Order: sequence, then structure tokens, then C-alpha cells
Amino acid sequence: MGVPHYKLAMWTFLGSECFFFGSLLATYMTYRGKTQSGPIPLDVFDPAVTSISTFDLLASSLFMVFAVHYAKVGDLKKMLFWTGATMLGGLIFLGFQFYEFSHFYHAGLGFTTNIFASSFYILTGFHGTHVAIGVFLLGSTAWAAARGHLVDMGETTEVIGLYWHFVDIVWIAIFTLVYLLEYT
Amino acid sequence: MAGGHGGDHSGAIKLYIGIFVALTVLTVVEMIPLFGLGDLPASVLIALSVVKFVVVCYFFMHLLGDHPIFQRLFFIPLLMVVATIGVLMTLAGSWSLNYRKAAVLDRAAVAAMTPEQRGEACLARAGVKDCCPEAAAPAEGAAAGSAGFDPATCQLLARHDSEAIAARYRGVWSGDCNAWAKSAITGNEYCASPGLVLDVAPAYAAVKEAASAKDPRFDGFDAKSDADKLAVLMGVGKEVYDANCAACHQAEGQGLAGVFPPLANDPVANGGKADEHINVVLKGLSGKVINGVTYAAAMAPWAQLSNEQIASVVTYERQSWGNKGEAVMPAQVAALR
Repeated sequence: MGVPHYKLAMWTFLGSECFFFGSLLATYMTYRGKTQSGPIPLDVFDPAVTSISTFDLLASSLFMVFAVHYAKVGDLKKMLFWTGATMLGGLIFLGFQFYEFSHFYHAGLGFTTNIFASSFYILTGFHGTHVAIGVFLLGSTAWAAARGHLVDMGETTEVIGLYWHFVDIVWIAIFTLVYLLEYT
Repeated sequence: MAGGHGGDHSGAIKLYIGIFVALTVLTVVEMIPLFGLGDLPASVLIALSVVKFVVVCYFFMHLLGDHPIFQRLFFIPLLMVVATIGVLMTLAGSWSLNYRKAAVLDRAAVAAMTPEQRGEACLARAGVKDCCPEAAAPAEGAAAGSAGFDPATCQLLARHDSEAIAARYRGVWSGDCNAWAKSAITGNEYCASPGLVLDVAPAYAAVKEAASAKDPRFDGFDAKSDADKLAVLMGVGKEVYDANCAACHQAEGQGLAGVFPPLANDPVANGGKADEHINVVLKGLSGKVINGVTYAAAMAPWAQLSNEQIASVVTYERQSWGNKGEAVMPAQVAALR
């Protein structure tokens, strides 16, 4: 087809990831509101934490396109800088998720406390896992780029970038369906 | 390479920044309800998120201008997923629900509800199995007094399909809770241990109503011979027993070891203890030691049954499965009621 193979593979993978997160979101949405015991989302949600996480991930997406852009024009220094900034955004997101989970737990929301807790932790936990994997992938890409191991730095960075943006758009869906809808 | 793309270069960066600003503005709009600054309907919030989603796909992930195979690889699964979520939510009746409505155990909300509303809420949202945690695995040694319905009820629940149960127990959940806790963050009180105590009165009102229509088999009962009286009592008694008692005490009166006492060979069902036997049916029983076994599960009172029905079922119990108790007449039940 004349398209880069890694990119084709990544888009195929992201298509399958739609099914993965789709099933978790389907579970959350199907059970939404079907609990008789607290805490319910409004008992534990913290709008400030969620907002900062959301803007943080959005900013990291911008940093990611910068990194891809400079990788494509062959500017290693700037590519490394923006890749590092993206990773930092991911780590900050993970920090807030850790903070959020521990806060929820201390507010009485254990993993099996109710159907909200189980479906929420599974969904957002797997999203956080993807962020962590993304940070790892970005780190390895930056390391390989710095060492000159990459045959095509632009393409590799773009493919990893696709993964990172996917994690960001999954958060767009989670942010709306899990968090925002509780405030309507 | 960098130099050759100079013009493009700053143009692309500017575009990215412009997209980012647009996404930020949309996100700020989305946050209006989050901070209580105004209301936005769910449809608007979902539309905003779809716009953000598509913009990231087309501009940050470069689907715009890239080979169309990538769009197909991504959007076909995505649409399948969206359709699946929609179908599942429809099948599960989830569209009209949300967690704010689900705060049925919020103490103030529960207090404001009638038992019927609570029962409706429980069954509509949670289904019978969630209303009765024990229903999933009720049989041997179902722990008496643990959270959820009492074991006798769970036994009933487990033995019937959920629709029959929904019909029978609609509107009977009392909304009680073993332990209320306070959310450290919002200060709301919520139920930390939903001990859903069954409030049987409304359900039994229906049984009582049916019972008040007098059974024609008792027409001219007092004028009948003793043998004919016994025949009527045993016939009606078996029906009442099978409908109301067999779920716990079992069809042959053998009970369920350690949970529901057997009636066969029961001391009260034999010998001259008819009054005690009637009282158990009329008033219920709990914490009883029978033949050396302690039964923690409580038996509900069955006063909603008519005098004729109670006389019949007590007679049936006293003269079945090898029991040798005397027959009981409706007048005896009336005297003890």
C-alpha cells in the first residue's frame, strides 16, 4: 500500500485498543448508577485534581506533536527536549492518579466496595497503565535517538506519538463519561 | 533538512499551538458544570468531547492528509465499540440512570422514601441478586444475620426466577443499613454496609388481601363431620404450606440443616402444643433451640394469613411426615390472634 509498516501496525493496534477500552467503558456505563451503597462518584470526586490531570495530559499531547515535528526535521536536541516534556506530563498525570486513588481509598472506596468502585478502578487503572507504558516507550525512544540507534527517528517518534495521543483521547472519553456526566 | 523546511516549520508549530488553544477552550467550557458555574446538558458535553477527540485524531495524529487506510483501521473499530456500548446500555436499561440518582442509601434520601419507593429503587437499579447478596450462593450454611436479606428470604430468592421475585417483593426493601459512614471529602453520609432488611409488610398485604376472600371450601365448615373438617384442613393446608412454608422448611418438612428447622419430628408439632404451634405461625420466632440445634435465622410472622389458612397449615404440619399432633380449628387461631 506504500505506507510505513510500523505506522500501519500501530494504527491496527490502536484499532484493537478501541475494543479494549471500549469493553471497559461499556462495563462502566452499563453499571452506571446501579449501586445502592456509597461512596458514589460525587462523594469522592475532586474537580480540581481531575482538571489539572486533564490539562496536564492535553499539554503533554502538544509537547508530543512538537517532539514528532522536530524528530521529522532531524533536530535531535529539540526532539529530546519535547519528548522529555511529554514524559514529565505523563509522570505528573500518574502522580495525580496515585493521589486520587489513595484519596478515594481513604474516603472508603476500596476496590470491591461497590460496583462503581470496581468498574472505575479497572477503567482508570488500565488507562493509567497505558500512560505508564507510554512514558516507558518515550523514554526508550529518546534513549535510542540520543544513541543514534534509530534508522528513521521521524517515523519511530511519530508511531510512539500515535500511541501517546491515543492515550490522551481515551482520557477525553473517560473525562466526559466518568467525570463530567456526574455534574449534569 | 531543518533549514529547507523553515517556512513550513513555524507554520506547523503555529497550527499545533492553535489546535491546543482550541482544545483548551473547549475543555474550559466543559468544566463549567464541574465547578458549579453553570449547567450543561449531557448531550452538549458529549458533543464537545467528540469534537476534541476528532480534532486530536485529525491534527495531532495526522489522520488529515494521511493514507485513508489509517482512518478505516481506527474508526471502524471505534464505531463498533460505540454501537456496542449503546446496545449494552439499552439492554441493561442504563440510559436513564446515573450515580446521582443512585444515592438511594443517602440517609436523607432514604428517610424521605416510602418502602415501596425504596423497593422499586433497589429492584430497578440493582436487580434481585444485588438486593440480596446471598442469592448468588444461598444453600448450605447461608450465614444468618450477615449483610443482605435474611437467609430465609435469600432462600426464597434463590429458588425463584427474578421476575417472580420482583413481583412478590416489589416495594418491600426497607432501605435499612447496617452502618452509615461519612464521606471525608463531601461530608455526605452514605451506607457503608448495606444490610438490606426486608420489610415484609407491604408484600404480605397482597397475600392478606387474597386471603380475605373467603375460601368456599370452608362454607358450612362448622356443620361438617370431624372427618370432613380434617379433609378440608389438610387439603387447604398443603396448598398454604407449599406456597409459603416449603421454601424454607422444604417440601417434606425436612428443613435445611442448621439454617431452617425441620418440622418433621418437631416437639411443638407433636403432642398437646397446638397453641404454641399457632403462635409461631402468627407471631414468628427467632433464636430458637430445637432438638439441641440453635437456629439463628428469624421466622417472619404470618398473621396476614386468614384463620382458616393458619388452622389448615398448622393441621397439615401436625399430621404429615410422621407427626402426631392434633388438628387445629379456625376458632382456635381466632382466639390466639
